[in-house]
Amino acid sequence: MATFLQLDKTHKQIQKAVNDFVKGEFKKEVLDEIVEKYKYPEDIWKKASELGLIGMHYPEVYSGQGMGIFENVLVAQNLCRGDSSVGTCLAMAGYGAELILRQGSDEQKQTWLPKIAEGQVLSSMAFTEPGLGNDFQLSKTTAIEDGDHYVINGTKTFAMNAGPLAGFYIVLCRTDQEADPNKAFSLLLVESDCKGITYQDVGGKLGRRLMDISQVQFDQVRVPLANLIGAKNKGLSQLKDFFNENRVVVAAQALGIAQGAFDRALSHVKQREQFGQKIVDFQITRQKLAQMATKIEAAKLMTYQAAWQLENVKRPDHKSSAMAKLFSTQAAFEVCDEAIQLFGGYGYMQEYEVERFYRDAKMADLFDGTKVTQKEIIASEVVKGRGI
Amino acid sequence: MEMNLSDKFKSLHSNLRDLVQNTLDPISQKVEKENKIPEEIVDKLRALGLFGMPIPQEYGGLGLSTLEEILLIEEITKTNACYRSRIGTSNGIGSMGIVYDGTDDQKKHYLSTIATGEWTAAFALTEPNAGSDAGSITTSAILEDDFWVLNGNKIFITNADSAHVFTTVAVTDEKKGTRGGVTSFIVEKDMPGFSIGPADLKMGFKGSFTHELIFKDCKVPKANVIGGMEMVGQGFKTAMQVLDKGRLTIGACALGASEKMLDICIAHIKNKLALGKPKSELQAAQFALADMATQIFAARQMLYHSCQLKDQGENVTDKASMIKVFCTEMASSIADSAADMLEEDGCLTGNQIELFLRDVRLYRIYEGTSEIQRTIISRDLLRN
Repeated sequence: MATFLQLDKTHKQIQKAVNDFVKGEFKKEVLDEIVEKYKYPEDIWKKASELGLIGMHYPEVYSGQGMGIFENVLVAQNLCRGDSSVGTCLAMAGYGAELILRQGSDEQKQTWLPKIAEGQVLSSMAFTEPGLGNDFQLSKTTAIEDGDHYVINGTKTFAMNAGPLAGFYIVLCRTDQEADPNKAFSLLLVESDCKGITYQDVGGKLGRRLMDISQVQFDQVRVPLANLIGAKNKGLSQLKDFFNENRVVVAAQALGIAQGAFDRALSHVKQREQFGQKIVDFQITRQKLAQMATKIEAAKLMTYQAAWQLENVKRPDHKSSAMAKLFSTQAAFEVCDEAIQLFGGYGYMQEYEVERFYRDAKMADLFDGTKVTQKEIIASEVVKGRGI
Repeated sequence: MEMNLSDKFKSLHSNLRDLVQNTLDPISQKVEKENKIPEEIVDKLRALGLFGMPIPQEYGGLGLSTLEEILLIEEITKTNACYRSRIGTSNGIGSMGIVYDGTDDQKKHYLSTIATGEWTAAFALTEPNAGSDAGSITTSAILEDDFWVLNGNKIFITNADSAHVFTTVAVTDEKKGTRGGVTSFIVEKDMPGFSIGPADLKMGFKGSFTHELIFKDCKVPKANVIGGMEMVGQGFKTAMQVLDKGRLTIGACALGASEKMLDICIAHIKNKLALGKPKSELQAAQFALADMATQIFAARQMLYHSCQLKDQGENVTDKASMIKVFCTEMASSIADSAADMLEEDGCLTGNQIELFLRDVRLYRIYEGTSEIQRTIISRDLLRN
């Protein structure tokens, strides 16, 4: 279908490469084992990095493919369409590393970006703290200068990828104990082998079960001053910029999850018969499929638009990415919910996968800012007249 | 709404509430993790008589009215769904066929052991190719001398692992089909030719199991047709009647879960801070709570009212379907809003909302999907 948003030849090649990869590597027996044992899909991750699917948007000197946000979004979308859980793991292998890519020093980029793109390590982000939710400005973790080092103390939680494969953490720390919160926080790159770091799994969770999500404790952890990412005491605004880009990637993951659930439900209703006819031939099934497809289409347009804007507009607004995240994650949850319903009793069984897509979709909704947070961001722009 | 509940019932209700709050709920996480209800907990449910709520007192049951039973189900679903599931089939789909249509001997023999919880009853209707379309079952029963010989497979059978007695629906006359060709049987687990497959892996309802049942030349005594030989061919009607009552029950399960979720949300926003002030001061959270409570109020009224009508002898088939759709869709939507309200914490199993989000999803599927309910409701509206 021709649209005003044309996918060019490169985009189509990327889509095809991802889809071929999914077909070749997301084998049912492999996935079944990973899912049953809650294992990180280590082999698939390594192969994805060999193919250049991790950190595609990093410059080639850092082992990336020199592509942009839009291409990264296409990769995330199609990996998650292949499988919600494995796709999310791969799409988040470099979670938080955009902070290094966009704001880090050359040395930080040289040291860490290739390691992520080459599948040597995962990156982890430690910003929120127990009981804090989205109120990062109330973070208690401190980094105090001591000679040529910072000494970090505090506890972070819901840190994605915080486990044995993490190469480093990006940690939000209070570096000015007196200043107004907006001028008090900095982001520090903390190598995972530093002394004083312990992590503990957050426990049973709804989805993203293959990923490590942990509480991380920093006890007198010393890192060189050079591990500061970007400017000192600008941490909160750096985080805002990071989330603005990341929201689009999460929207793309959710979009792919919705498509994957739709694919599975469609093939089920086409082959299953009840009451003497294919389920797809019931009018209500067709109405449901139409509604699901419409939500997916809208999510796709919003996500692509937000990605395109980040790439091409000098001062991208935060509203477009927040809208894409808000809409796409909600659409994904609703589409997966309907997919379960179309499967009937089978939909509730792990074997048919859509229940897992449903759970992973809700995780995309709950993390990186809930719906209320996205609406706050959107409202703060539209009430200023930067509107619609 | 005047409920006219006896003191005896009120005391049972309050005993169950205590059991849920002090015993069942505190170990809900453990049960979830170990995927098993400890046997001593099942004994406590037995001691309260909860395996025989609707079974008449003369057969050892509590002989409760529909309203009374629903009130207890609402209470026991304010925690992990598996507890209710453990008693559910014995009170409902597994035993009601015998209560409605069983012979005196069947009632005496089976209901008394089911009511005490000694034997668990299960219900076997669904087949791989007969889900919503229950009328297309193919499990066959052929009379050979003094036995019925059953062949076929049933799937997703709740409590198959712990059940002793299976109300099994099979085809006795292929030509007549659902109009006179389907019969309900009482099958016991140790009858020759009967076996169960491995447990299904499900999204939720940990601690409660569904299995496939395999009938391979399974020999069932002639006398085990529910209602005796004169009821041969009448089994589909019995099955549908059984499911009718089940719809009110599932409505009550969804209601109990919803009420508990609302309580969790209220406690959460009173205790948590957001943007530097109690979350309870945020309008978005306040309004979300208001919507939950409004739906719960409506659900409770429609459920209680219909139970009372049923107890007065009225046919509530259409209302039962409305209740199932309304309550179960409400529970899903409340689970979703509740997870949103708890933010990241909403994804943690330890916060229970995560558990509810997975568990309540089943209510919209089993014992008649929402689509089947809407079919029943509209058919009734358009009749004449």
